[in-house]
Amino acid sequence: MKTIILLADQALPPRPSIWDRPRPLWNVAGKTIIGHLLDLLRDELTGDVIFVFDPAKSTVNTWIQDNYPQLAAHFVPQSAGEQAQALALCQDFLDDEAVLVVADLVVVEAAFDKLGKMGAGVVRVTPPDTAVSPTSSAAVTWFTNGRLLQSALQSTGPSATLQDVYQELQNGGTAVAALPAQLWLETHTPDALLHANQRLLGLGYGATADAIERSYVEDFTVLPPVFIDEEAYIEAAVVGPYVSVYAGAVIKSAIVRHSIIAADAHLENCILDGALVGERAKITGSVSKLLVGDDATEIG
Amino acid sequence: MNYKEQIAAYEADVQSPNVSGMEHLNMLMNRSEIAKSEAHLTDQERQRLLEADKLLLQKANLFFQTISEIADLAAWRRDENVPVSHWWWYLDVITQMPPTNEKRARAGQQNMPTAH
Repeated sequence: MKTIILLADQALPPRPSIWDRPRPLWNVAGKTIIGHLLDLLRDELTGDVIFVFDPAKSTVNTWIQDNYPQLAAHFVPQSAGEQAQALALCQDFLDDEAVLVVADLVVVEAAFDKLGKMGAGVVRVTPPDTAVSPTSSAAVTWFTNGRLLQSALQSTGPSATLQDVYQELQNGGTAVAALPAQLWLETHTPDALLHANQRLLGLGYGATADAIERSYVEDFTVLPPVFIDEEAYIEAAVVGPYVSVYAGAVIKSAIVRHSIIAADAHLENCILDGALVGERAKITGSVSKLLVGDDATEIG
Repeated sequence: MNYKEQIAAYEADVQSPNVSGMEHLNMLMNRSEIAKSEAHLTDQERQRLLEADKLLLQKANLFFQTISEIADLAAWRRDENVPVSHWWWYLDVITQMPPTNEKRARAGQQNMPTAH
């Protein structure tokens, strides 16, 4: 099976801009968003994996090549346009092999092994009832072969979404089935990102197993599940539950819950709940709920 | 955390006065969370909470000294609209209260001169 992953960020609102780095490389639960997605799909990534990327954010390609060298990865640039246009750029890869398309960077887990056994030409993986604020642009769709997708792309306009594509196929008589996902985490808003962090840590993805032992040695309190990078420094603080702390971050005399603290951020004498703190950001004082971008300074 | 976990955490925290002020502050915040669930507590859980509260009162001075290094409890009460029933936020007041008769009697016994 081939996999097409649409990484270009057309659906992401420009504000709030939380971190300078491209969204696939934002960290949640100890890993990048794209890292979680590729890990959850790992059994399916047996054939070509085509990443459609924004050429202005090519650091994602380097990251994927460095961290997933085993993938048969191909990178297709897309500077503008909708999902159908992105897929049209992948036409050279579409053939008789089945294709799984993941659009709008949703971290998803489902019984993918059932896709080919459902007797349908197209299978939509749908968000479970528990999904938080699912967007219409996030989509995971399987096509029994690439030619089917190719023909639908020729019939739909360039502004079509994936939903339009499988609607077109359904109208043409192709059987479309639905497979509910077990896990569906979107990452398009700060709340969605914090929810993804919470769910992934809660499920054990990325959680630091020895966090409690470390808290005894380094003299702070931890309330699992948390991810604490080995190179983060914590002193006289309460960290957790559902907190991710990345390399070089310093947390001193603080209470931090349900938050993501990016690399090299510095928190001191503050209380954070539901915060996204960007790289190298500095927070001191008494703050409750924050979205803090890279290099920002907040003094309460 | 559910309230059962919160009670367990509170029981552990009141036995650890030698940690940082932020950890104590978190303990008081946790105690307020438990208060929200008090109607659901079993008799046994109420008893455990009572015993933990007693420990907090006994060590109020130690807790307050450490908290006062990082936070002003009076300002906290004002900013957070802490209800009067949440007595654990009044460690600064509690530590200034005169000792009860029972405590005075105990102190008197300890200070009683011994026969040589």
